[in-house]
Amino acid sequence: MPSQREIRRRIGSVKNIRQITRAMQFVAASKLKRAQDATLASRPYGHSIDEVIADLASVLGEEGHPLLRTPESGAPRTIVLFTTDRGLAGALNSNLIRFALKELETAGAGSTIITIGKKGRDALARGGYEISAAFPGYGDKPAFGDVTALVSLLVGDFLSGRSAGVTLIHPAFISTLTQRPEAVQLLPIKASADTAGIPGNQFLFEPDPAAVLEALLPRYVATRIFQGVLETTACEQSSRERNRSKGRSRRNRSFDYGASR
Amino acid sequence: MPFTLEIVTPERLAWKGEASALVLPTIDGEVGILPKHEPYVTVLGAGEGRITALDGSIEYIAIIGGFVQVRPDRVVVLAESADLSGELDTAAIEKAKSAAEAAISGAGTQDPASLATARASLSRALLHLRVAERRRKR
Repeated sequence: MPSQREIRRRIGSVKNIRQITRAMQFVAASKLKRAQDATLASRPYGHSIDEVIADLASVLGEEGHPLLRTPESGAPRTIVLFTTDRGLAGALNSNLIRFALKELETAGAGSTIITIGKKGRDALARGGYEISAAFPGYGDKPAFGDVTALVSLLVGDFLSGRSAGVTLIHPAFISTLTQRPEAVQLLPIKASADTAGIPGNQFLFEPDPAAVLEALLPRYVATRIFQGVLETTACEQSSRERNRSKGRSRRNRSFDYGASR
Repeated sequence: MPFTLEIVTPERLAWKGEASALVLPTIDGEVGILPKHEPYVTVLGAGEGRITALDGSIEYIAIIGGFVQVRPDRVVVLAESADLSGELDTAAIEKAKSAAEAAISGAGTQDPASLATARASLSRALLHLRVAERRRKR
């Protein structure tokens, strides 16, 4: 039978824990907000660059640039898997990894995986899959310059014919409650099917289409990858926050129990 | 008749709204865009852009790199960086400028890559200063 003083002390410590977790909640909320804002702010740029590239691709055709060329089917592809560095992010990583492995099965023989984030690398290594390159995650505040190394690796492999295409697999941030793994074909660049009703060949390109494309392509690849990084960060934060709030509501019940005594 | 203008960078949407004219720095000199411009795509250089708002007032914007796409329904500027003169912090730019100048003057011991970086940040600082000046003169 604990003494009255011990019980009081216990109540006090539970109250302290509540205060600490509340402070942590505010920190997490601001991180989540920042990740979300960064993702949403990057979308208009990504969307517009997609449009222009697709228009250019339809003007230039497959012969226009090596990055537009479609290699024969069945050739080995590169799959880039975006995961988080840290755990406690719910089913986010396992969903992504499962999705990537399915993609790997349908891709041609000899296709390889590049991982971003520790979780993807660890899971694939455990499963005995071959990883051609592993990048660490980009942290809570990814910067645009961080992706340059990956960009030159991907473009180099594609141009030298080592890979016949690049697919990005990252979660799409739909809302704090919904995130879905998504496969995006990065290379070769697909010509626009033209849903907007403005065929690309009506655009006047200055100085000429090839020069515009040359200036745009590295930017395009980097933008797409950066966007994958941002989406992953936003999904990681919201998935983790969701888990936390579940735990919080369980804990609060015990706090109330402690406080009412 | 105005047109819809969007200026976006990888990090943010810098400007969105109706405009009656736009001047942009391209790699081959300045280009002016008025309503009903034909569909057009070009590569941007670094320089000063001018947005004429509906009331005739002019907004100055420092643009570095990227490209512009003129569509029938709207004009989209995709810049690597775009800063309105009102958003530029002169003190911070001066600091970046002197840091870049110091890096260049000590260039004897440096590798070409960091020298190039210093040169780039110097010309960026000079451009930002020029655009920030615009606001004060007005």
